[in-house]
Amino acid sequence: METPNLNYIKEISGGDLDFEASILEVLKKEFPVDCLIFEENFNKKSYEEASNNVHKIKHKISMLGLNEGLQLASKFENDLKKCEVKLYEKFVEILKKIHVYLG
Amino acid sequence: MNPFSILLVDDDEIERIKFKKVCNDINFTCTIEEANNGKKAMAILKEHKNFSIIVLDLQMPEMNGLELLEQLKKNEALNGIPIIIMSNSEDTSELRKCYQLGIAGYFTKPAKYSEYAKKVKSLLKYWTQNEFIN
Repeated sequence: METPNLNYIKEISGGDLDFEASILEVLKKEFPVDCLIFEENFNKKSYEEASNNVHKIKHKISMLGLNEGLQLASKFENDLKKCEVKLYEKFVEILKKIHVYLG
Repeated sequence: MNPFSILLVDDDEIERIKFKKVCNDINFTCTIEEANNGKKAMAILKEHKNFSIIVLDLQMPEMNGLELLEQLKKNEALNGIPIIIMSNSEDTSELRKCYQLGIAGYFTKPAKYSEYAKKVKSLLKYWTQNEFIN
């Protein structure tokens, strides 16, 4: 099972530690907020909005090297536009993993 | 404003950081103004109308990229600024509409950073005619 990692961020940074820190800071700041907004919209069954939220979150999933997670998020993003929610639990599992990783 | 100026419109701060990192890595001298939605971009454009290019994401809150594009194309003072869409939208009807409105280019954001950087560099090279960008 894949786990969040900093490989992609390190690839971008080219060894620039300040840069890595600035990306992590943004992730730590934005990720919990993005998740809350997603949950809110999902619970209200505002699936079009929730799909837009997943679109934003999936970039962060990608930043943390979760390639399978990214694929699932892309599928879920499209499913939500059709009000299809069967991937919700798997998507939330990915979010939980990232929450734990970001501390 | 510097000779080459970019209005970068993307709600994702990390995407904006990535774009600026590429410019920085190649020592590309330009000014970059940032907006995280279409409304903020319009507010900036009210003050500065002479951007060299606008790099625009499509999916954003408040006012999305397509809505901003429609407003810009209706505005005589702004409709001459080249607009490059940088998005991962898979909505082909949205993309068709962008082309109908007259965008100057479209590129998807590759997941791999080295490919992303290559695309941004070629974009800058094309719009500045700067042969020293490689």
